[in-house]
Amino acid sequence: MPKPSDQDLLQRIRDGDKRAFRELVERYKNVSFTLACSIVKDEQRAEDVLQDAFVKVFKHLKSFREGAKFSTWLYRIVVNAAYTAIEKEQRHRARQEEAPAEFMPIEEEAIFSKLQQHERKKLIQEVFKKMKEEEALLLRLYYLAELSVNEIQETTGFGASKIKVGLHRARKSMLVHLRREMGDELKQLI
Amino acid sequence: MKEENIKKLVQESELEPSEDFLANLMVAVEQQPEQGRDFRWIFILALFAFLALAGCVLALIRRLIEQGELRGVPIDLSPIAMRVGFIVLVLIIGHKLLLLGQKIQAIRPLTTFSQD
Repeated sequence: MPKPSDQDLLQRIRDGDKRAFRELVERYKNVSFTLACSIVKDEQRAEDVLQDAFVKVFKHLKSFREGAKFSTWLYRIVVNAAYTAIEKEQRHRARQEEAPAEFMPIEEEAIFSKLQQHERKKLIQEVFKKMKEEEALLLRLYYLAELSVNEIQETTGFGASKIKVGLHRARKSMLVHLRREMGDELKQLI
Repeated sequence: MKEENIKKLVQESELEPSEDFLANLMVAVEQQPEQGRDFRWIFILALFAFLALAGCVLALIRRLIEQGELRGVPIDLSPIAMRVGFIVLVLIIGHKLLLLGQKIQAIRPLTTFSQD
């Protein structure tokens, strides 16, 4: 049986079918969660952001334009919710400067298991945590959510040139972080 | 680094929320108040109809005061009585409009969310 399109699911949700909403969440939760993590850098907080974003989606579904791309709309809500969460926290929390993650030494046992599959995934996720939020977000919007530059513009509100330059810098930054983490093993990895 | 390698690496950075995320979300969604239908348009329509009616009645009163007849039929009514009648009409319909507005407000739960 073919998967229902986003528009079908949205129509079913509008008709009061909560299972359709569940299906829609299942479809987008991982990419949305990863985008939120790129900004808030903490999985628990990212989950709160995501919950907030999906509740907003549910509430504002009627204001969603028919024919528009749902994923772009959703990701914009997720990105906005994540930035709002950061702002709120900055306002309420005393400024505590965390030690810059770039200089954290890699744990010894992690070095030995680097090439194991799940460790490798973990390592890549660590690299993304250490990257600047904007760079991590751009890379993930482009390569993971597979949005075009125009769609990223819609999602983030950044200008096209900022996105292109940002993507270029992000690629370089990812490589620098990977090299720092893996040294010569990077060649085997990619 | 090749574009496809970057893509592969970025895709490997995909994360998953915890297992109970979906259950918690559905609970949060269930707790959302049902968004009522917006019947404000009925009130606006009634308000415009009322204004139009008041305008017509006012024009009729003015004509009756000036000419004392309507389509050849003489109407002998004191201008004061007509004005008082007009005010009473406005008050009655205004009161009904107010009641209608309150009812519309009551059946529409306060679920107007900011469009952020």
